Amino acid sequence: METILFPAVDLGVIAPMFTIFTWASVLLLVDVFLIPSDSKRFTGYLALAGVLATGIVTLMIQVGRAVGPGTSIPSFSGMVVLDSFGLTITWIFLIIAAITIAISINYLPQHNIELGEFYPLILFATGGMILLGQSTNLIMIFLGIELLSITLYILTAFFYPRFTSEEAGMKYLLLGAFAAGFFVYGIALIYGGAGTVDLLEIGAFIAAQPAVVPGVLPSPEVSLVMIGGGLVLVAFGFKVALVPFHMWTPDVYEGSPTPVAAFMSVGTKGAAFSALLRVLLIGLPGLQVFWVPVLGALAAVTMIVGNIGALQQTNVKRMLAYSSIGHAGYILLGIMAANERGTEGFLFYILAYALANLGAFAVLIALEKRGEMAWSLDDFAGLWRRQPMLALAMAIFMISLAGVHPPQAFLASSWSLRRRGKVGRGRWC
Amino acid sequence: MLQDYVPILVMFLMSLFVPLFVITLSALLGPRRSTKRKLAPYESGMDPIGPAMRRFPVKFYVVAMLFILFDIETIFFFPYALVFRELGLYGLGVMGVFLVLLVVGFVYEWKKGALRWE
Repeated sequence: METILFPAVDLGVIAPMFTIFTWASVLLLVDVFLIPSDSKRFTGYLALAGVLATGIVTLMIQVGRAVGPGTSIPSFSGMVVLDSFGLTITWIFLIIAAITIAISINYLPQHNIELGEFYPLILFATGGMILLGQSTNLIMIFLGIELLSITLYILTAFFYPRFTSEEAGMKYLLLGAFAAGFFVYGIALIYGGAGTVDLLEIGAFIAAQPAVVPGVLPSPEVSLVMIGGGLVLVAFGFKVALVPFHMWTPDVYEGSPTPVAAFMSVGTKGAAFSALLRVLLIGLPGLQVFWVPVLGALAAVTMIVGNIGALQQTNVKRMLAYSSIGHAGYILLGIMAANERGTEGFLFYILAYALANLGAFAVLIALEKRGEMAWSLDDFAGLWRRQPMLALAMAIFMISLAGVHPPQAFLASSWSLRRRGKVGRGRWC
Repeated sequence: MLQDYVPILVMFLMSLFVPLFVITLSALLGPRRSTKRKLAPYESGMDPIGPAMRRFPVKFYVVAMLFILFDIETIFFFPYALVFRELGLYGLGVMGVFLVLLVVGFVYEWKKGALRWE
């Protein structure tokens, strides 16, 4: 009998994901057994504590393993990797999860959809996102996408009796299953060509082949990898709402509970993009001449359609959905750059976009809480007179989403000024 | 190369033969006393003919889903039982994690009342 080789297991590499999944599983049982149905907000606080615990573990790993630029600690036969990119994106996901839970705690009871499962589901989805940020293997990426999507199918349909929410859940489920099919078929073709699903090995395989140039027919194996890569790109396009695959976005955001829409608009996008970044930069850098024009065209169409689509909307949630489509195009530009600056820009953009977009959704929730209908653009008329602080916040977030990032700019400039000791005592410093 | 797949062919032929044999045998030997109930498509009494747009009790789907969940568990457990010794402690740990996750789901559904029929 053949001997079975065991992978070297380094649990430290998956410690953040491990913590959040364990916490979510335990929280699910704690919620069912210990927390009475009229105090489900306590589950929310426990989930926040879980995000905090994951943050502490992440910090311990970051310091304990001295993760900095250039660090790369693979484990589980190279299926996951611990590097500064993965950890940075993990931090962003934890911030997103914490804000989502915080804005849900009051939202859920107000709309009579307060079920304890909401919070463990958010934690599970965040775990899937962290896995996506760390995986260097197509199967692991698929696992991460499914972990994230399956929880989101439930969360989008969480507004149970509301018809649009059911529609949103159904639409997201069908298109998500469709995208998963594309992804698996793509993996199969890549495996057929390269003989591996490991991103590093795929990259080495392509590098070992004669260089591919447009106009010359590549070898059958390389063509298989190319077709597979295209299918994988389609699946990612569905997940991040690039333009030919964006149709579901406005309906799903409109129908699902507002915190879930906020979570999806930044979380899913960030996670899928970080996995796409690894696929393109580690797995398929040898095919750059092919995917750069494709992504360029996709980014251009996405930006145009997203922004023009947003102009026509009268429903605020739909408008934000189109805005998130447009932003997917901008983020794609950072990935296309395919260098260190591009990756830095990608991470910074995800963080800034996440804060601005979550903020905009949070204002919608706050307005709904004060008895305002924050559905249509007309509801915002004269908001400054009724809710000046919320109107100010909304204005800042909208300007931020429009591309001027005042909060970040203010913070950055005030920090650098303070260091020089020249700062005045202005409102923003 | 192709010879490696002969057992699968044998298995295929067997699985074709056994049901055919049983059906033929029961058709030849079995007594036939048909009643109206027995001739209905489903002996359970469900009427399969009617409009498609109607409400179904959701518990059928819940039971079907739970069945699939715990059915898939066996897909992992049977191969594991075969290589139990070779895998040693590592295998035990991995299957332990798997089982703990499964039990978490099971306890959850139990407490939620998904196993109660009424």
